[in-house]
Amino acid sequence: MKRKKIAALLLAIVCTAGMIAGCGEAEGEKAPEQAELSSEEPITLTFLRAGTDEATQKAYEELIAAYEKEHPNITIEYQQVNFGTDLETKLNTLYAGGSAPDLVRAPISTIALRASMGQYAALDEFIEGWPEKDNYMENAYEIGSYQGKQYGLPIVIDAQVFFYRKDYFEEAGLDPDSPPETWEELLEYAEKLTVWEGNDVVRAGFAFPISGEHQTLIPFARQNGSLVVDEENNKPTFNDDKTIETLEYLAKYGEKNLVIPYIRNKDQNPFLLGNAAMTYAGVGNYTALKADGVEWIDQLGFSCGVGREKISTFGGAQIMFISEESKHKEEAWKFMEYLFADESVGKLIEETGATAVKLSLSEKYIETYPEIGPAFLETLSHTQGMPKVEWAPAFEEAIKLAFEEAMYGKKDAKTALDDAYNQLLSEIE
Amino acid sequence: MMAGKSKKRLGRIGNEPIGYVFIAPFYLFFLYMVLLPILNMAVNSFTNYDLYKTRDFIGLENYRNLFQDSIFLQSVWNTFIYSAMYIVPTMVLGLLFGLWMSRESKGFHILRTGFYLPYLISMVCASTIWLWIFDPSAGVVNQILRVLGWETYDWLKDPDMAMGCVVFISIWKNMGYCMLIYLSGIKAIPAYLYEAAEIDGASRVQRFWYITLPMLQPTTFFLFITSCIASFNVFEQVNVLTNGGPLNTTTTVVHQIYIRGFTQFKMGYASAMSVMLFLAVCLITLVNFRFGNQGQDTDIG
Amino acid sequence: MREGRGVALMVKRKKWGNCLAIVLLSVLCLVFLIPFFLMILTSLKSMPEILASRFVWKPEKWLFANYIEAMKKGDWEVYFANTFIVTVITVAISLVLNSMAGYGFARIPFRGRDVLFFFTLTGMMIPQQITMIPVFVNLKNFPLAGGNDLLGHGGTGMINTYAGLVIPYIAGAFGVFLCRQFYMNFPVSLDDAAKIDGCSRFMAYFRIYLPLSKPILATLAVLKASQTWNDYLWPLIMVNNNEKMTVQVAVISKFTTEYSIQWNLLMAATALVILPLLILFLFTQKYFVEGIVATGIKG
Repeated sequence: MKRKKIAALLLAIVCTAGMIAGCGEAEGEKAPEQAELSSEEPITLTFLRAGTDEATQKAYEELIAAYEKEHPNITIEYQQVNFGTDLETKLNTLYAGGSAPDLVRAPISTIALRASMGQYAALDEFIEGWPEKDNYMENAYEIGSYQGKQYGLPIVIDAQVFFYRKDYFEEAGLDPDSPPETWEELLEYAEKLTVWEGNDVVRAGFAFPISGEHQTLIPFARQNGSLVVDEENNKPTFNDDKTIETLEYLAKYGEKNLVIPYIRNKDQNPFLLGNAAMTYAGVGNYTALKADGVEWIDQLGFSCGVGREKISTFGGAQIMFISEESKHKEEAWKFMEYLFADESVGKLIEETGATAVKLSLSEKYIETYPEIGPAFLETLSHTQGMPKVEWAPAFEEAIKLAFEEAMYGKKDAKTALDDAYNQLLSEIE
Repeated sequence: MMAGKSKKRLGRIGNEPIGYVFIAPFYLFFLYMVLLPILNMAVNSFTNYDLYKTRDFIGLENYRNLFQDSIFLQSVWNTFIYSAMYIVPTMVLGLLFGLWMSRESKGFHILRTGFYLPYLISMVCASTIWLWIFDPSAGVVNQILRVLGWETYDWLKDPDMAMGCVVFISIWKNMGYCMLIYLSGIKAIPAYLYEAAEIDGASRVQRFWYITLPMLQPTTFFLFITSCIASFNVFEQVNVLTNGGPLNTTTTVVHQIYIRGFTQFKMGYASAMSVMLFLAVCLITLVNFRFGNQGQDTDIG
Repeated sequence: MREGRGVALMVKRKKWGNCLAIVLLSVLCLVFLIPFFLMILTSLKSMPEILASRFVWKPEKWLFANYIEAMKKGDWEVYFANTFIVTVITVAISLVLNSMAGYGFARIPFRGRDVLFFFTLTGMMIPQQITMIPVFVNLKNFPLAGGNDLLGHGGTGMINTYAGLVIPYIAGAFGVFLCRQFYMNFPVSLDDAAKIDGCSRFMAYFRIYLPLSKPILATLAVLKASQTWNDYLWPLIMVNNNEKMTVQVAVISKFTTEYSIQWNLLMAATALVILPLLILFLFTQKYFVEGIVATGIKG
């Protein structure tokens, strides 16, 4: 008797728990329609920003406080999360769990995927009536669009600028005012600038990651005239001769023992530790170096880098999105308008090292960053980011693997790219 | 699994439903927070769940794809290598240190704390320091090797050595945990057993082989199972130290699960991977239950 | 006389052996802790020093002020308080539930026991990345929590609450397994004696087993506290704002920026964060070192 009772009790518990879980899953899908809210009613907007930089946090919190003061019925709950693993984990959990933030500031990397999954709302309607529309930079629009729709507006564009050390150039007998412009020059300079101790490179001539890296091969291949990915036809093309030639060229740096091996996002770029003479890096790296107070900050020179058929550098962006799930898109857009007003962007430029995304702010930008500003604005027109395709993450993995295989000399450039290409094709299908 | 054995025992000792009352409070939490999510995962593995709204039944496709995914197969092999290199050394070191640290001399509480300390440092912080130590150009190890005039290595950036380095760091990090559990196991051995053995003239080595080791079997069983599970599920070390590279030599099954699920949004596929992982760990655990002495009836007294 | 001298000699030799062992183990311990010393040294350096191309052990200037500066970034008293509350509640509940369940699984025969026990182990076999989302959904839709109705709709459930942080930790099977293995080692005669004395299972548990459990409960408390205190992934998901943030999330988020990491402050904060755990470990040692002998089980 007793046993049966307990068994029944356990069974009942399992059933209720199951029911609750079942309900939970259903709930995420049918977000209850809410009645139109009048502007008087209190509204809470949630805003998730990728990045945990303190100065940026402070600037955003001040902007939000000012906005809330102007609009007493609106509360903005600001939260932030670290880039990379943390961001993807948090964002995915929130979307999957049916508690997506109304506003998201996230990197460009997953725009195609998330837009096609329907997580981000198209903003075309709102932008139509936006008075600042023509004051916003053309290539910034381009970054936030996908398949003819505008899903987001970049608030920071992170174009990779060519950094070099003038003091090391002088040490090696090179002219500190003429950075390399061609591939041949870059290789030649790198050989002259590398410093060995025994067999080990202790100072790299030209620093780039050899592992976990896609941001070197892609822009160099583009410099060589390769498309890498044919976005119109939704097809990868990186097994062409141009890309193969590029990878062969980059592999020379390994063969000639000119690199310090490091992993993107795991190790510091040796340049930022003073152990390299040339590299591609972001404006943010420069402001961070300045804030850290390194001695050689005045020895830095900047340019838009090398070219072959054309000049090309890699670029990322921090983009403002509105969630498709949001129940308050109107209000979220109003806040975005406020965030993209000249005063707000100006504040972010001054206090956080954000870049000018508004035409009217270009001059202010150069004034604020006289050293790197001009080089950055010049680079901006040569910048291209990740291809905007749904399979961008798989493409990234494929490029990383091919690049590593060639850099470690495991496969020759052609085999590495062919293998990665075929693997990617099989996955896309 | 142990039906025959338990029936026999039940027959002898009887069935006491009061046992359910003892386990119920824990089991409630467990059902809701662990078992249901696992069922959820099992269901997802037959769908193309994308972490958002798509969740259509696609049969066994995920499982079919698994066996053609060369990177997944490599990650299985890597996980196996990791487990093989990690489990035994960590447990042996844990046992050795547990034995040494079980003394009650002065100063030992400081030493114990010292050996346990790495377990307390968060993996992110610990891995940063190890990345510095193993850095090919500026790292401490290579600098020392250079001063000595010896050959230097790329350590974590060398495809042949990366996994070894990851294992080494994991052992360093978790040895203290094994030591602590062994310590509590050693301390639970009744002293009269040793007293009796001493009277019988047993040597130190004999005492270790015939008393300590058998009496530690439940502890060893526990550590073996938890270490197996932990090493089959290794993720954090890899994620913060190497990101799976170079050349995918350190990518593990859970690292692949993370990449597929959270960066490529193929949660259905990732779930299929974890079902396979789950089955593998289950098998090992079951075999251990069946053949390993988990401590029942270990009653020397 | 002679014999006495022999014993004295042996004692002396034993003492020497002891000293040698301590010296050897101390050296080993120091080598083992090199990464830890690096952490402390880094926490006392300035950023340009850390970013210098050459690694130097000794800081140019010992910047103890880094510790103060680190604690000024953010509301650390709040983070410490939060983590403390979560850890204490988790450990307290886990000790009770795990030792009870461990005892049940180890000592009481009941139908389906082994199968039920095996199920608990499966909980440890699934990577957190996979179960995280359903757990999150379950907590969000917890009935009657955080503005939810009876069916778990309408509110935010346990998101951003202490309960939401604690409950998944309590459901971990690790402690049950640990306790079960410990109780299995007890002599069968113990149960028989209790039965003869007419003890019910509850009385046997409270009167006989619990008093003998000090070492295992101390071990469990230390391990569970370390795991809870150091957990990163779960608070990262559950916590939305500063008010409920835990120390590990704060360590990562307060000192890393998009482009650089303030290594000196990060290491200083890490050192401060592990301090409470170190103290806990030092103070609980006497319980698990005391062993079972002192409380005297005899067959």
